[in-house]
Amino acid sequence: MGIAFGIVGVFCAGLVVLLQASYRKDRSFSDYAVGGRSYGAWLQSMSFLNSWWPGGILLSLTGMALGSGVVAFYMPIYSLLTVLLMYLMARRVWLWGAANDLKTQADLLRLRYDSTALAVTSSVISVLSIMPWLVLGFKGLGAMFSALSMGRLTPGQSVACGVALILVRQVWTIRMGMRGLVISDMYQGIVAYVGGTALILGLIAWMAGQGLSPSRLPAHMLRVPGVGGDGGGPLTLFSMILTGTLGGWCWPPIFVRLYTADSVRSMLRAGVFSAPLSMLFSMALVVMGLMAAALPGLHGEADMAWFEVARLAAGPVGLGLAGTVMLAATMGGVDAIIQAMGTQVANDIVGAGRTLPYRTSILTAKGTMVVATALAAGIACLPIAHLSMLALLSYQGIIQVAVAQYGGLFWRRGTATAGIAGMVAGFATAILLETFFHGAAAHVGGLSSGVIGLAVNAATYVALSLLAPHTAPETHRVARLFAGADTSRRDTAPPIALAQGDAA
Amino acid sequence: MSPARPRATLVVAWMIGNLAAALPPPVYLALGTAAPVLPGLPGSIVYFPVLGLSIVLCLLAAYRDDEKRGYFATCRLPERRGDEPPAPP
Repeated sequence: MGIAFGIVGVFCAGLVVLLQASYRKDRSFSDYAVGGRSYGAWLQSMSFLNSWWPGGILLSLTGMALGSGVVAFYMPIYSLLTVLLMYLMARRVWLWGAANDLKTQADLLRLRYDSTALAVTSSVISVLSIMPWLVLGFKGLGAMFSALSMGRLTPGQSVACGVALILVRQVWTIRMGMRGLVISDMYQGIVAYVGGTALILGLIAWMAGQGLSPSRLPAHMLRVPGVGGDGGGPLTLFSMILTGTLGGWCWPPIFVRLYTADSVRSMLRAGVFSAPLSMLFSMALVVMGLMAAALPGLHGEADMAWFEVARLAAGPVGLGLAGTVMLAATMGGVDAIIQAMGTQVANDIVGAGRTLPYRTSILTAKGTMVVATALAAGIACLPIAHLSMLALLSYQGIIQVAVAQYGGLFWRRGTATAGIAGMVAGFATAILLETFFHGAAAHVGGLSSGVIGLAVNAATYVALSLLAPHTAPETHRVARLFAGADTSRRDTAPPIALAQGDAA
Repeated sequence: MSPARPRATLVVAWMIGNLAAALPPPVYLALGTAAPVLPGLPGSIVYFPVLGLSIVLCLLAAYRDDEKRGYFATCRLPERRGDEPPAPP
């Protein structure tokens, strides 16, 4: 136990030294929220990975592969398609962001639709949807402490230790804002994804040496859902990949990464250069889970396979390394969520439609971060049975922001009223289906509640936009806004500034 | 500044091809099976990694194409004229 915790301790000490050495006072709320838009591709890459692959993935993705087979590959695939999607929207998002000092996803929606109501609606949905992931992050750390203590800590004590570690870490997150987040993401990213990939490949090699191979799994584990009537319908995998691809950029802590880049080039470079490592890391994790399915005794606690395989392969050293990788990956995800919640509440809800003084913005953001951390920590210490279902439901909810977001970026005729109505209709549909008709997916070919909600959302958005179109001044304003993103290409008038106040 | 040429047709086709290989049920139902396509390798174990690799290579190709056609040079804010006020904070 001492060896395992000692390895984790070395990692933590290195992080503290790095953060202390990097501290710099923020000059504005923009500096605090998006780090002054000053980060190049390498930092951006690690930061993106740290936000995209939280530590809980090491447990849940491995466990999914071990329990359900090759369907777990859906996550690496949609993660890469998300980067492809970034190619379509990067230019407009970044140029609008830089020209109008946009800090959050809601800022973009407010600019595009000239509607504070729509921005606040999306922010509320986002904050509600992301909370379960914060709690799951703390619970994942609890699993880490439980595994490293080899069962000596009770589940409650384990979660409390994980929470305490993150609370101490938050001192720097709250103090340094986005700058601290990106700098620590670099260090955590190298440990989690470079070191983590090396560890995963090592564990795969060890299992191969034991004669284990994914090709020896039963046939139902090696085919996708819908083939031979197994585990879902023909549209199950389509739903899973589509939800992930579209929903990826709907998460505020992911979206805000688009605004931390110092240029479109850095943004795309970060996505492209992180893609190979992202693919290798995630696919290797799935292969590891598939191979672990043949190890005796793991099926009862599939989510702990990450630690169990490491322990079997290398004892306390393996546990320590597995725990360090998990901690490094979790910290980035938890940091990103907390940071995004603070910025959203300050900028998009409390500061909706007005410009708060810098000090008020900072205090509101930091206060929110403290409250969110404490609330999630408290909930994580409780024995909640269905939190995983809440988290899955939250994903079906967050993608309802997709229609207004992507519709606003690519379709000039989308209106604020249509966006709000679509979001509410889609969110309500998804919740109703999940809550009262769970399991109904089998009757619609395996479509998820989120995708059905998305269809309702999109239909509402398009219908209302066409039936109640923009006024002439709004049509003109939107046209100028879109023209502004093309300005640097055509060298014409500069982009329109973000309008103050709500004209909707 | 001259506008960049459009993205290479091959790259665009490759992007669309990746989406077509990942999303439509007939494709993944046909390829994501347990039947071996190589000795000892089930179709699904080949399909997903190959698809992932294709997406990664496509992204690299798209980035390289964007560099060559000068796309990033056009992704900058215009210079503000002297008589124009700065954007509000």
